[in-house]
Amino acid sequence: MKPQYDVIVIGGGHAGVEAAMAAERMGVQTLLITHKTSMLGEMSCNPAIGGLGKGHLVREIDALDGVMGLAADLSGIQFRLLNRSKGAAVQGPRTQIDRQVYKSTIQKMIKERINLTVLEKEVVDVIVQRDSATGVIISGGIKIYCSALILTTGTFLKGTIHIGKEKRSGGRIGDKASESLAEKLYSLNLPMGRLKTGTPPRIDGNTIDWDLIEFQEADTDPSFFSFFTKSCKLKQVSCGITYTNEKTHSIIRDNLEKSAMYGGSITSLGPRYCPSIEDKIVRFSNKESHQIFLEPEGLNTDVVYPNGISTSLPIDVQKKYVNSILGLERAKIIQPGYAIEYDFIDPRSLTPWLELKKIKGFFLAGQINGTTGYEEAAGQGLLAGLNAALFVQGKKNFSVRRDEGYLGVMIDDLVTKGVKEPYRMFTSRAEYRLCLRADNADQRLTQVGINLGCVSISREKLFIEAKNLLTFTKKTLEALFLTSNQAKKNGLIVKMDGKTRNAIEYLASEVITYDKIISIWPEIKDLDLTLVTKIVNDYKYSFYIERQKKEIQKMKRDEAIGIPSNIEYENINGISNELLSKLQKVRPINLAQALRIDGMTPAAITLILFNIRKLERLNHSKKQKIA
Amino acid sequence: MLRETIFSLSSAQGKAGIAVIRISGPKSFWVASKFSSPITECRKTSLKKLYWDGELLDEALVIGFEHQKSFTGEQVVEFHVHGSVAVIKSILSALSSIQDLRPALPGEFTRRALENNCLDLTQVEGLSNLIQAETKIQQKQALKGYSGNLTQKISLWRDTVLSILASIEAVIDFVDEDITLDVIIEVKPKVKELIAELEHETIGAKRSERIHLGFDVALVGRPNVGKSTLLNYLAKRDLAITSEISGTTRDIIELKFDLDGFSINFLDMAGIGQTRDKIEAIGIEKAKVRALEADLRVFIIDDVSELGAFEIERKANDIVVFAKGDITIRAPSISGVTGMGIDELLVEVKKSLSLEGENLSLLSNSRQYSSVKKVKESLDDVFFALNKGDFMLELISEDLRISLKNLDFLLGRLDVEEVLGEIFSTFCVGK
Repeated sequence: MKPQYDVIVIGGGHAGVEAAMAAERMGVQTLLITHKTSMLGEMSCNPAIGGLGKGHLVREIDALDGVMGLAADLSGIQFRLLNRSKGAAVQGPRTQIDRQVYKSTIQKMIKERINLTVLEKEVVDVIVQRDSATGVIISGGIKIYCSALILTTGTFLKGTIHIGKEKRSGGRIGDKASESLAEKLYSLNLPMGRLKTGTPPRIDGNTIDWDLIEFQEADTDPSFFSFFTKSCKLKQVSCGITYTNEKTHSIIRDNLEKSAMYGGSITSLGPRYCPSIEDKIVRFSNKESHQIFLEPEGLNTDVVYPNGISTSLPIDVQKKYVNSILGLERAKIIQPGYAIEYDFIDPRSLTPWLELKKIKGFFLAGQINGTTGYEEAAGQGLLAGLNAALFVQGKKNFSVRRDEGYLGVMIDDLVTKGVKEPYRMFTSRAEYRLCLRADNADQRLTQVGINLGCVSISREKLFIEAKNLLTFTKKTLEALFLTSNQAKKNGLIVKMDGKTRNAIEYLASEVITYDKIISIWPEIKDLDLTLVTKIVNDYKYSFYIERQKKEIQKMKRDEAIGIPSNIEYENINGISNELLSKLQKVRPINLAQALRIDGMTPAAITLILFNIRKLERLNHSKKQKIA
Repeated sequence: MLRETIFSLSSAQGKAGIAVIRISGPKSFWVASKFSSPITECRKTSLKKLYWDGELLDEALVIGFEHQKSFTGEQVVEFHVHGSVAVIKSILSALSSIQDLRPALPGEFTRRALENNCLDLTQVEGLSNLIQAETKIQQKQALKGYSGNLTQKISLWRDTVLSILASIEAVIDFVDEDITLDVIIEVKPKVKELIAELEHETIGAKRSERIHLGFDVALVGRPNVGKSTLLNYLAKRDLAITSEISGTTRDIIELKFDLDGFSINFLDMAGIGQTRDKIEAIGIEKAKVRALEADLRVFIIDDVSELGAFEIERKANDIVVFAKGDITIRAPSISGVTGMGIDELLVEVKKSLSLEGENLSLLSNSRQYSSVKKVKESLDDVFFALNKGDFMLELISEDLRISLKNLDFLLGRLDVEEVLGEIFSTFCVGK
């Protein structure tokens, strides 16, 4: 059957949207199938985007011309740069979002695309022929054929919602799980695992005693996600902060048995970084109080998201403990909190470009791979979309290296290490963190995107302008210099070593103020301050980055050593059983990836290398024989 | 690819009561069954007759160790045979004739143990020291390494660094949670304590290396003052002697001496004095250099005025004794002829080298020493940054990661997941 579409994306969450948009930007005919068009761009959990690691991801998505950054900027109602007082590498942009605006922004962006069609249908089956994905069957039995398929169905696989002892199947509250598709996926015999996550009850903002609550303001000089954005579009609001107390804790302790997690209904693993309130009270019993952020869900809604009290307790207990909290004594619950259990596909069954190893042209992205978070989903969606398009175009696959971006760190972690709990990005996951800053995402990735063909002309123009401006700014700063003697005469505090230093070095000094430097070189004032900051940041890290570069060189060298796909790990003697089973699951594509498998030993890597060489010799002599 | 099966005589060459032949690799049990009845119970000795080509070679104790339960981690068989040259030769030649079997290279059994994770690097180093140990203290020190004491200590240091790193990362990655900068203040004493411990260990390390290699004690004096007589006297107490090695030059004679379990190299060198002989002059220069490098110098003199003429700097612990105590009586004096004062001299040597007690560093070689030193240097940077108060946390974290890497270099692992695990078990995050 001739494909009607180049790429079909199943699912309209953040992964699906980013995937469809990326494939579309690559110029291939794309179809997005979702069971509910009105839910495109829905933020089903907390009303915020960004944060540490997550904010970095969004900046990278934007650098590759993705949509999440721009949509977040257009719907942001409380921009805050996290870790503002710390170094540039660990600063992460974050904003509260007006969910309604975000959703409509995304839907508008989708409508504007020429090569992208949206179909509101339930997908009941995927068509796999001779180990290749070739299409889908939608409800009513209609077949639609394609060249590449991207599955982004989130938590819909055997999703079970728990509220206390109550259980029902479903992905999100109010949505039904797609069971026939799930059955098909199970029949493909992919390795699966089960995870758990939860949400807090939603509260009616009109019933909160705001007078009793402290506030956290938005930044006065907001940091945005998109390189296009220059200013806030929406009014900026504050978030409330309140705390649990001993009474809250005792209510929860007394009712632990009724919780789905502690009552034994849930056995799967939840995220340690996002524990339920039950977990917090059991595991950190000596802590007298826990912080709760009261996050508004938008400018035109009264719904408040109380971040920090996700739960699987029954509704009556939820109500009791919510009302025990300062400022929430009269609070009404609009929608109860719940825990959800779902199946995911072991991401070690994927290549570093998110294609199933077993089925050609079949890509997976988002929560189905065991991740959590909008940003993580969108990042995978973007890469799956790009790679599906490259696959259709018959071009070489694309992945980001660990030293090039958080996108690379995330996907490599997923496909190499697998997941034991929902995977969330942290800056501490990135060993080359100092190189991977939010402020240099464009320098790291936009040129790559231009080469791939996923970057629009307008962004390319903006990027080149910014690049030239950066070079100009750097040259200007480097041309301004003073010897230590001259610096002292100008009132700068400096080591009297007779050395000549340029403006960048003086700006990087912790004891010299920016204003002082401006008074010496007023021309710096005419330069773009963000670029000046970026250059100074580079300089501050340069010593450490030089050191990291050596490691990066080593990694690149190991990456160049490909592992033949016909390597038989089971026949390498001297590899422990545990490691053997990991190697068979991951089947690393090169030595660098093999080295990153948990529990890898120097001895085992030597054996693998030895076998690679042996296979190469064998393949070589085979070729010679044929010749 | 299957690993080859290797074999070797594991006890010393030559006639002895018994000799042990070890076979390691996937075919070991199969090989054993070619000599006698198959091994039915593992890690139990049984007395078996060993036959080859229908001919009885010996009656031996045979032990089989299954995969992962042996020294190398592979299937291992040991033949404990009679230690006759002929018996050993006949069994080894029979083994050589079996296809896919080959003699082990030097150290290959240990190497396999390392590769199969049965030993870590510090244990291998300990084992090698243990095999070479000649004195009691050397044996003790080596056993510490082999039995994993160093591994344990490194693991403890590593846990500390990991917990400090987790605190720093928690403040970075969970800034939105209610984790305060207090956490950083709390890690400061931990860093300080660890630095002190590492410092202690690196200072002790120099001594430990000497324990392994032996302490050099130079005998310095004018020609014919009685140095060689003294050395000969020491050498005559033959129970104490373990070996005698000629120095690299003909002029320096080394005597390896077991002083209450400590290995001491007494260096007898050219007498220092005026000479017109060019070759002797070279010998004297060498003696001076070697004497300066030694751990201790014993100056043997006839008269106090000689001390200045040696042009060898005298260090605080160095010993001065009068020569020929059998002829002129001055204290402290010695005589290599009668042996007078020599026991007292040895007590002094022991004291000067502070060989009392066994407060040794676990670090026994320069690889271990330099890794620990690097760890300490990175932690010094961390402490400096923490003290400054203006926290560049991401750089502090870099230095901590380097410390971890160097500790891992001693043992072999690192994983980000571990850092996160530490964070989640210590801090309550998730708002």
